[in-house]
This record gives sequence, structure tokens and C-alpha cells, in this order.
Amino acid sequence: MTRRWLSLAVLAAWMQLAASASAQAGGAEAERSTGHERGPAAVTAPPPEESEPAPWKGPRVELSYRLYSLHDWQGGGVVNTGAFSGFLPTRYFRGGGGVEGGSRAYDKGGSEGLLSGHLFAGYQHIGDLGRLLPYLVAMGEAGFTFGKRFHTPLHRGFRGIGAELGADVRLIKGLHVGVGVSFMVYTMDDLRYDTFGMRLSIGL
Amino acid sequence: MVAKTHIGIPPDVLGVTGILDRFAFGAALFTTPLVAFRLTEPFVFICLAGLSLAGLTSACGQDADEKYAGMSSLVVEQPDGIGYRLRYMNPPWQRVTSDPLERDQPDASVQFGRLDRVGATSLPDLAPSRSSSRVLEVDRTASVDVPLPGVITYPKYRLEVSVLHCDDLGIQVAMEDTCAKQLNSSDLADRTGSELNTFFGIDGRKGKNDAGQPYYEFMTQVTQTARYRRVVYYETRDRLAAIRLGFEANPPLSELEVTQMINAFEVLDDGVQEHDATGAASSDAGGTP
Repeated sequence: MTRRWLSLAVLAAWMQLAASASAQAGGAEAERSTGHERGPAAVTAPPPEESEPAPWKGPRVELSYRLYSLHDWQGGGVVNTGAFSGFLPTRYFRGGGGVEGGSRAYDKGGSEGLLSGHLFAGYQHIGDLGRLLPYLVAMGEAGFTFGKRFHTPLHRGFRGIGAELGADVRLIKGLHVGVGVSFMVYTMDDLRYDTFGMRLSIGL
Repeated sequence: MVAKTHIGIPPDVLGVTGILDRFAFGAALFTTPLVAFRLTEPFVFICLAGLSLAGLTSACGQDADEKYAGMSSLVVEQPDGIGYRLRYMNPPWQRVTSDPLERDQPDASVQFGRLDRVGATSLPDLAPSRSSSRVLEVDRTASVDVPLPGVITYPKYRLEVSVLHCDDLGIQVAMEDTCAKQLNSSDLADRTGSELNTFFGIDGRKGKNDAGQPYYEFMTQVTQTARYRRVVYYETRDRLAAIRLGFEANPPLSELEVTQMINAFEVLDDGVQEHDATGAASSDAGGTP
């Protein structure tokens, strides 16, 4: 078994070496084909300092602020939450999940707390837009609110599903900021909440 | 009393319009990117489309922004046609079917003026019309396992709703007045001295509910227990009848939650025997009004 793994590792190393040698050879060939007028000084010239950044493989983790509404006739209102999300390293497929916590306004008393978890899956456009990475994902969310009605503690579960459309912008290496808009349909206590939301995010 | 059960079917009982609206909206919102997906990433397109459709169709329920959405409803009708619809939040409010008022026990009465058992009063407590009373309570949050001797425990909130007939009770109502107005002024005046009664002014105040129906109300605080009382007398189409809502609670009863509950209350001209919103007779009505 150990021998098989060793063989695989050696094979992988050889393939890596072969790939880099091939790339170097290709570069030298290209240089030769375009540099037939150059002298010795041109051959030893340092490589250009500004090079294209390596292709971004998308976000890995993210902190975000989200604003949406769970407004109802009983007095429920705007929701402000903070979220931590993790992403699968699956390039074009943007998938992952996270946890979210915050508060929901209540017109007739103190705000109530909100805790939830979410999963998302969709598409992110990697590659030909430079630092910009647009995405569209389907989102599912479940959680609960905890607050007081008539001075009595009350908690209520909710679930929601919808979609989010947005874009991330890479700043330095993996550091990025993003903005997204979502449309979600939540269900809580047999009441339906159709709501738009906005997400601002920063991550690596 | 003839028991009738009405099953109210709203025009869009299946929510077809709402579902179509949501599909139309979703289609408009995501058409452009989805067309791009369809051309470039057919697999992702199929996954997203399936998830979205499943989500939108599974998210059912009453629109949360609709009036009285999520409120439980209790409808009571009397043989003489005077009835009411009580809307309340359940939880935390719970109906108390074992209460003497609900069970029409002979000694059951509602406070009128100073409480009879507290001391001498010129206004005896009132006996409500038969089968007209409903009682709701919000239990105390803190619980004591072993009741302490000599200690009276109260629910955090209590609400009594009853129909009162001034003529049956022997209360004189001037020609230009109504039973509700007369009860309000007499009740408030007799509590002076034993309860702080100036919260809504020396004469109480007049208001209208969401349906525009008039009522008179006042709020007091009992000096010994520090509990608040808020009493509302709704006018009815019968000048000599009124519907009384009596709140009693530890927290101040001038809060918006209580006011919303009072304004959501409705006097019915032509009602039905008590039922819940689903049409089934029940002891504690649920669902939506």
C-alpha cells in the first residue's frame, strides 16, 4: 500500500516537473521567435515587474451584513444580521453555508433576536472578468426568532428559500468585498413573508 | 340558542393568485441571467430552476402584511343578535374555558365600580348576559411550585369580554345616552378613592376601533396590588346594550399591544355561533380571522 502511494507521489512530481518544463520551453520558444533582432543584453533582461495576477478561484470564507424585512401586521419589522459563511472550492459552482445572527425590529416593544443557518448553491462566473466575480445562487435558510409579546418570552421558527444575485470584487490576493441583492420567501407561523434583501460582505 | 357554523371561504382560498404573482415576479427578476445560464451552463440552469420552483411552491401561508394576519379569532353571537369577534395573539394569550364567567356560574360577575369584595360600594358587580362571556389569560412567566399560604397569584394578563344589557341590569340610561357611555362614566366615578383612575383623563376617553365602531374606555391602577385595569365599553346597535372588555395585568395596559387588541375587536351585527376561523367548533379558536 505504501509503495503504491509512493509511486503515485513520484508520478505526480514528475508530471508537475514536466508541466513546468513544458511551460518554460514554450516561453523560451516564444521569446526566440520574437527576439531574433535582440543582442545578448536583451536575453539577460529581468522579467517585467508587473505580471497578471493568478486566476482567482473564488471566495473561501466571508463575513457579511444583511438587511431585509420580516414585516407583518402584528408589528414585526426590519431585520439586521451578521453572517459568517464558508464556500466550497468548486470554481464555477458556488456552494456553501453559514450561520447568521441579529435582531428583528418590533413596532410595539423591544427588538427580538434572530438566529439562523443558511445553505446556498449556484453559479459564479470565474475567469474572464478580471477582479469581478458575479454570482447567482439559490438559498435556503432556517432559524428562529426569540423575543417578547405581552411581556412574555416567545420563540418562533421560520424557514425561507429564494435567490441571491451579486458580485464580489477582489482587492488583494484573496481579499474581496461583495454586494448582493436577494429575494426570499419566508414562512413563519403559517404566515408568508416575501422580501427583498441586501448583503454587504468582506472575505478571503 | 341555535348553533350555526359558518365556514368562510375567502375568494382566493387556494392562494392561486399569490402563487401566480410570485411566479411572474420571479420570472421577471431572473429571466436575463437564467437565459445566459441556459446557454452556457445547462446543468446549473436545471438545478437552479428546480430549486426555485420547489421553494416558491412550498412557501405557503397567509400574506404576513394582511390585516389581522396571524391573529386568532373568537366569534360569539347572542340570540338577540348582539355579538362580537375577539382577535388575539395565541400564544401568549390562552382561552380559559374553566373560568366561572365562561361556565355561566350563578355567582359569576364582572367588576362595576369598586370591587364588591373589597368594600362597600353603591354599584354592585354586574351579571353578564348568558353565554356571552369569554376569558383569556397570559400566564405568569415565573412559576412557584408550592403555592404559598395566604398569597394570591394572578395571571400576568387577564381579559374578560361580556355582553351587558342595561335594561336587564336596572341601569337607567338617558334618552340621549347609550348603555356603553353610562356604564363607562358610572364605573369610572365609583372607583375614585380605591384605584388611581386618571390615566386616560378624569372622564376616560372615547375611541374607535379599526372598523370605526365607537367605544369608551378608562384605565386604573389598584393601589394595593399595583395591578392595572383597562375597561372598554363598546357601543352596539342596541342603545341599551354594551360589550365590556376588562383587562387586568401587572404591566401597564396603555401599551400599544393592548391598544391594537382593543382596536382589532369587532362588534358584530349579524354573527354566528362561536367557531374558529377554520369553521370547526372549538374551545380555543385558532387560525386567522
